[in-house]
Amino acid sequence: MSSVDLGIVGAGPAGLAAAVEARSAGHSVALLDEAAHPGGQIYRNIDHAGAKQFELLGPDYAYGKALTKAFGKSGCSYLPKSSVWHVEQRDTGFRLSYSRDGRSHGVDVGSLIIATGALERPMPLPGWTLPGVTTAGAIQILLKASATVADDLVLVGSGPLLILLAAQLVTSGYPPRAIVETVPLKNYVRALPRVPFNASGLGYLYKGSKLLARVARAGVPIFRDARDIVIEGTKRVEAVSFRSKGRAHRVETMSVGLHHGVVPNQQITRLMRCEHVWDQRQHAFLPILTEDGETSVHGLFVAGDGGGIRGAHSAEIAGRLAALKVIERMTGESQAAVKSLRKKLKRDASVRPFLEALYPPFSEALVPSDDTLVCRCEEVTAGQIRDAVRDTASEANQVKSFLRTGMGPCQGRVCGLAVTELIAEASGRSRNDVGYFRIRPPLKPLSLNELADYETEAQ
Amino acid sequence: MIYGVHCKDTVQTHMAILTNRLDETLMYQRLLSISDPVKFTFEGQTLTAQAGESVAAALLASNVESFRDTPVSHSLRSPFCMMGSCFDCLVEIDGQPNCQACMTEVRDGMEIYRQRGEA
Repeated sequence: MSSVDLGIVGAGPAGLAAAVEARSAGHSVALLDEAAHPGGQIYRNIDHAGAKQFELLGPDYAYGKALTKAFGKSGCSYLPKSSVWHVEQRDTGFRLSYSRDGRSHGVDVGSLIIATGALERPMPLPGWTLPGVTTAGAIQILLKASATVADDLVLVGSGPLLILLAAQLVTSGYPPRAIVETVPLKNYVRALPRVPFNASGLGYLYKGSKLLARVARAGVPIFRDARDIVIEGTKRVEAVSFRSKGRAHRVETMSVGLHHGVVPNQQITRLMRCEHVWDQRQHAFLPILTEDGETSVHGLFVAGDGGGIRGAHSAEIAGRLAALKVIERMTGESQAAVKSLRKKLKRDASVRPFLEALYPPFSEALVPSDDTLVCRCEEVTAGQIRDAVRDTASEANQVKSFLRTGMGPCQGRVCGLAVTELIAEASGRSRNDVGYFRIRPPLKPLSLNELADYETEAQ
Repeated sequence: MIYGVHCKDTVQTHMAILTNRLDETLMYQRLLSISDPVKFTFEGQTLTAQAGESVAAALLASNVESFRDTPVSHSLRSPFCMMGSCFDCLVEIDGQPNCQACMTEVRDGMEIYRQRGEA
């Protein structure tokens, strides 16, 4: 079993920045990541993307190149295609068990930074499991990794990623067929007082307005304040029907991109029984963190969107900050850069209250109709969950044992927050009381052979 | 109004189809032609992909509509998240079931089949 000073999970901006920081102080670092190349989802495929992708994805994407370059030169032990399936606390830190090419291995780390980023917020709408319906993030991944676009995409939902993707598709020559926007009109008024009047905040808003203008110039129809959304089809998606401003619409399409925000990927922090708390503004559970990202488990840090959604730039700062705290603890010397990084982090987050007020989750996807599937793996409907609550289940794990929600291969990554939400609605209890699925190892499905071989090796 | 889209837009869409999309509308289109081809089969049919991309991207770009059917109701599924979290893109690769197509790099000679039910 190899051992290093610092282990990092995730090769997005937070993980890469943390690795570079810790390496430059001379500490041994192992970075494990599921993907084949560094960059995370935001800078996915950055080292192999061609001119076409850079043209479509713009300077915010190209920015990631500097990060992967510095990471490549850092001397960090990089373990790509490595899926962490267990983390255990040890006297000396943590042991990570991971699977790579069908074989499992372990690595012992002194401190651990979880930089596993965000997942798409579940968006259970009627028909959302039909082939041709993806997350908006999936469409962007196709663009980044394969320069492939959906031909007649209808985007449904709201949020910065939706607008960014629409603008990128306009540039690609395949503009979305339509945007079905779920933002209630009153939100525009509500968000106004939260406009961040500082350079960082206004910079983000300026970027957003330029993207919106590009989409508008291309003549992409935007249906505002959409509701009663149904994705229609039998063997695949055929159309999206909805009401907008009092009128019924039906747009035919072969692909639908769903998005109403992203939420922290909490699989590892839940597995480690870190304390989490419901955050009403982000409408998600967040791990409770110190200013520098340490969880309630000593030596276990979260950097980036996994600790609360703040975007790629903040993730990079938070990665550096967490690494500096780890260095401080190992060397006993306080790090001068900590203070300025904390300040930067605060400044960069100033746009968030505005975005959170403008783009809250879509209410119909938070409390879906009874016949809408919520748990995609085990095919459990919202109605079944409500029935279970009526039959005395009032906690996420009770519903899990009644109905198998969250027990399929995705282990609740897709439906978890939707299930919490439904139980809260049906029982009238708070989300903190309803809680979240208890996450257990293995975090990813593992064959018994692989587990047996690993056990032998570890002994 | 046709299908909720203003007439002007519909006309434009039809124009676009007439001018540069003589082929019928597909779910997905490659922006670049394949420069480094990889040949594999899906359900026995030979398909081509760009080296380095995922099995899921390769199948989507070949306009494969469904990747599997579900164990519970046998309804059809295709990739949803493309980032390894949803497990809706499970396929059988070279005899091995439960492979996440979005997390597996496509290789020359791969034999890929839909995953049926539990597999």
